[in-house]
Amino acid sequence: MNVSRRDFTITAALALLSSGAAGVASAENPPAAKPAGEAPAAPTLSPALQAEAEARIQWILAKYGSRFSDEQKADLRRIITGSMGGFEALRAYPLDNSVEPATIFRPYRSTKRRPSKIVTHERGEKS
Amino acid sequence: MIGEEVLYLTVSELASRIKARKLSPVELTEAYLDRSAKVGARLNAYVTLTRDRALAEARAAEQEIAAGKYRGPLHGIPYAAKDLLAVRGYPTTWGAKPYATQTFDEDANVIRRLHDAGAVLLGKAAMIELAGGMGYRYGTASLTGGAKNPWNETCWTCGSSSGSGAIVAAGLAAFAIGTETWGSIICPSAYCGISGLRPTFGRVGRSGAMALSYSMDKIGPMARSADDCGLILATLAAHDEKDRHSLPASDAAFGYSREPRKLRIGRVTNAWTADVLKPDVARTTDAAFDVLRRAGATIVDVQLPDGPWEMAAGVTISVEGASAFDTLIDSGRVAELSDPGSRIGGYVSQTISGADYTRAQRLRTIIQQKIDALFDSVDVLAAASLPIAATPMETNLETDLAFSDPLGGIGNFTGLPAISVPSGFTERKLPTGIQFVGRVFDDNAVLAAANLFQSKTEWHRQKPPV
Repeated sequence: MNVSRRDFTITAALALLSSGAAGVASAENPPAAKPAGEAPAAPTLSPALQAEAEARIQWILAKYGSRFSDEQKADLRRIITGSMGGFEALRAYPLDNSVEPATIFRPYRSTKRRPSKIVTHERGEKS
Repeated sequence: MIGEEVLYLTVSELASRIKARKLSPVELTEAYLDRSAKVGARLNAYVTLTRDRALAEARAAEQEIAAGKYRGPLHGIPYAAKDLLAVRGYPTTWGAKPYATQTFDEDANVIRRLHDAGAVLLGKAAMIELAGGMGYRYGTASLTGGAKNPWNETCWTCGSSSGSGAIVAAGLAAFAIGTETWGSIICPSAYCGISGLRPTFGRVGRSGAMALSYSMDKIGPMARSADDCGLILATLAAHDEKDRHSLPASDAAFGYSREPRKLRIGRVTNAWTADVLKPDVARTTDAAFDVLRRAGATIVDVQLPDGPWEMAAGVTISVEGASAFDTLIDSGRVAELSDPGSRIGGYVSQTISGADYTRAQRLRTIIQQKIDALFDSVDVLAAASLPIAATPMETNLETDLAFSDPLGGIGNFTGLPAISVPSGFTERKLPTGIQFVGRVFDDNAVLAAANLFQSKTEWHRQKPPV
């Protein structure tokens, strides 16, 4: 499946600068030439993605809900709903089973020499 | 009395005067400290001035140089460091209220390396809180308020190395250290009209630096010229045994070459879409390519590969950031952050699945191969650093400025070196930038392209009206 970056990963680039919000803000649907201050249009999601977005929202509210104002809850909903198109694109790109993650686990073994166990014996004690 | 023109000299120009003992590191440091205290405070450029340390390092440099012990081009050169780098004896705030009184017992690796090279630390540069790790909506997202752009103080410097950008542009230090996870060196460099280098991932050790994204954070120099960036990177680059992502010694080492290269430059035709690229920026970028062509470079058009690379990079930053700051998020102390976006972004990031994160890392393998193949036909990629110039401080980044950044996304996701250098001005006298992006390990190629451009232009010599 050829997924168009333009369709799905229009990002709020400046909001992402070194930002953990990348996955969040990438949901901002086509923003270009939008009048200043106008909120991004709500994306059209499949029922499955809508359900997934709702589950993510409810997970946050169940765990932390008392912390949020109504405005923050609305922001959470907007951000999560807006991000789902990006996740759809991420999951649609074909990957063979043999494609490994780029980050590599390296087994660890200390290079420091540990002192060998020293066994001491009291005088007269049998060794 | 040191004149303002001296404070705007490049590192190499200052170094030649210091080496010849025509310029006193102590007097230079005092002049930068005075200017930083006055102009820096107005611009919200610093979190902390490290005056005592600066004067001690400057006196030590002066004595050593007088005794004939010249360490190299950074000896006696004053600089500022982004406030996510640990400095013993001073707060390291990460630009965020929950960490406002945080201190460390040791200097960060890069601070130590610069100290060993004889550089003089003037202070800790302001930054976006947690380097934007929780997301942010406004340029004011910082413990110290929004950093004002020296070219127009109603505008932002961009972030997250916001203070570093303002400090270099306003002549408050000879250079600054910034960091980039996605855009945090390139964007402030472009907005502020300075030269900023993002080295190959893993080349500069990060021990003692705040972690946002373990697999994407980079540390690099921001200075008045590409040549200065090369000199500084040569000091910073080395294996860091306390940083698990640090390259092996042979790969991390960087020998800066000023040797001109016959360059084949790939003009990226899909870096910015036509609807977001401002005419002023298009004009200066086109002019920059003309300069490069006339200087002997070959310019060819190239396209970035299509795919969900930006999303994968975003997922990576979000998940690693949510883990790096999990105690802050779980404790609810993210509510103390200054920006409305920062207060909720971490919660959203916590809901990204392990399956999506792992898929992002597998996509990373694919894009590594695709982008590397692009460099079989060109030495560097080039495009406008940003499609716009600096925006007003109150701009809502979520609603008013949203656009795709595939070159930044791919470049940061795959660890490519990049540099932004000034390319001209908009009609409103705001700087624009051109970026050169190179193959992994070929930091010298991006420096060669930037040096070629700066050898034919004077944009990097312009001073803002501060």
